[in-house]
Amino acid sequence: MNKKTALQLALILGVAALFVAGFFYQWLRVHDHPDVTWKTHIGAWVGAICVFGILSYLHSENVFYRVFEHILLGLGLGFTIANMIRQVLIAKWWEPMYAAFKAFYRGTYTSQSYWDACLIVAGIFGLMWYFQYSKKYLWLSRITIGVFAGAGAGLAIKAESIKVFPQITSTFKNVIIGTSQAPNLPVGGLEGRLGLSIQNVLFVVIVCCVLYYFFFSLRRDSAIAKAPANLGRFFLMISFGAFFGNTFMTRVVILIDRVHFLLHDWLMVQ
Amino acid sequence: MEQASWALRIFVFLIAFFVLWKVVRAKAGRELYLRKIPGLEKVDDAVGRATEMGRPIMFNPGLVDLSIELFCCLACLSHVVRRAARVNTNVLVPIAYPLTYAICEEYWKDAYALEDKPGLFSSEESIRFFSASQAVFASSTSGWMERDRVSANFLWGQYGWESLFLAEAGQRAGAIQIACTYSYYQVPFLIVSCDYTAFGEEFYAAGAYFGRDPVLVGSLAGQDMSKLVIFLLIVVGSILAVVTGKFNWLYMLLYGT
Repeated sequence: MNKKTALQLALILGVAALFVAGFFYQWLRVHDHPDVTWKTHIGAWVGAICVFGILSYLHSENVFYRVFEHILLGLGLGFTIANMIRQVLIAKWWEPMYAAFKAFYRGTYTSQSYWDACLIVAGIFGLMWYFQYSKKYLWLSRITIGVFAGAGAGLAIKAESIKVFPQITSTFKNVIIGTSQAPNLPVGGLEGRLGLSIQNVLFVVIVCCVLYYFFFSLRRDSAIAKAPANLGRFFLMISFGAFFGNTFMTRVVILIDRVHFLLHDWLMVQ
Repeated sequence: MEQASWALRIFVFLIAFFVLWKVVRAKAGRELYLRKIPGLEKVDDAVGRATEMGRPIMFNPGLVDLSIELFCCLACLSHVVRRAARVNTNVLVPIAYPLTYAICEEYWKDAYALEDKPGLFSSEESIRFFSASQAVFASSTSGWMERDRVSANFLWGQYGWESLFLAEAGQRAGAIQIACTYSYYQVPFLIVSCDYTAFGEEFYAAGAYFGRDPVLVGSLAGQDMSKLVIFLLIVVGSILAVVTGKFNWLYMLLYGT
């Protein structure tokens, strides 16, 4: 038995011992919780096993982890497919289209029925994806890919323009705040105006420097040309540091949530 | 265009004009300058390292769906696969969305075919669809990375919290890692866990950077001109804000009121 196998075995035995201990601990505790039965508590047990299975990855990629990885993958895929069938295929495609054709058959159609009947085109386009599996008719699937890609790019350009444009006007900052421009400052007087002015100056300078950093076709041979880009990178790194700290705290909260689940929901420690 | 002001419409046409103008100039044979992007410079080295080690490469587009970003990813995927095909190395691609799967597979196959090696590796084995669920995608990709012991890992796309998870798995597999993402909040995690990181606009520039295709390089230069216009608007807008107040005529014009 090599070192890695021994470690994995020790890990599995350790987790198994923990579960046995947990089981006996709960056996003693369950009498204190009349609302909890083994039947209702089974979900917490499954959850705890899954948590330990995934956390075992901290040691290495092992069999225990692999089992839960594939369970998670199967569940995820199954959920996606079921969701797609129920929420998209049935709810947004089949039902309105079927209702439209039924209305045409019964003569009770409205102007909306024409649009809903057109959904059949979307179905044909969708089915054309499957020509990926035919060497002879592969070109048909490429038509669908082209249509999807074109529509995606068009929509994205529109969405980006609408998103970015207001950001330009939001960057117009008054860098010298006078008394008439800020009569209701929370921190009044010269100090308040000075603070807000510095804040606005920094804002505009940082935006301009970062924007300059992302110019690609501009030559930056001289030191003067390089300086704003270097400053922009410096500002970016400061913001990344802030993000790092902030996100790290979020991750710790997630860990605390899992520990809380194990202690409170699973082991029922008060 | 719904919800768009006249200024926005003009601005969109202006961007299109700059891009077309630069593309035409690039196609006419005019050499357009592109500055060095350090992270992207190392891509070919990483492919070479994978070849020397005799292990596969992983190109991970993350949670990118059908969008502009996907096409940026595909340009880089194509470059990496072509380089790998020249030296008979396999490129593994984990996928999160079904539409992305079909398109990536096309690009992957085309890249091997362009290097006269169409059947060198099986696309069914090399391109795997997992799920758009972040937890599923992260755990499956990490497991795959470690089992196949990838020697170069390209994290090239959109990521959420799983970015650090994927990068750590790559570290454990002993892979050289190059990240390029536009997911702003994940950049710090990729900087600390990858060997080289490119971010933000560099992600969009990567396709042009690798291929040096006149259309892509021209459009990049055109976008730079658009950024220059934005830069000038910000400077002029800020000066006007000092002189006449925030809600000056330029603000009103751009805001559409």
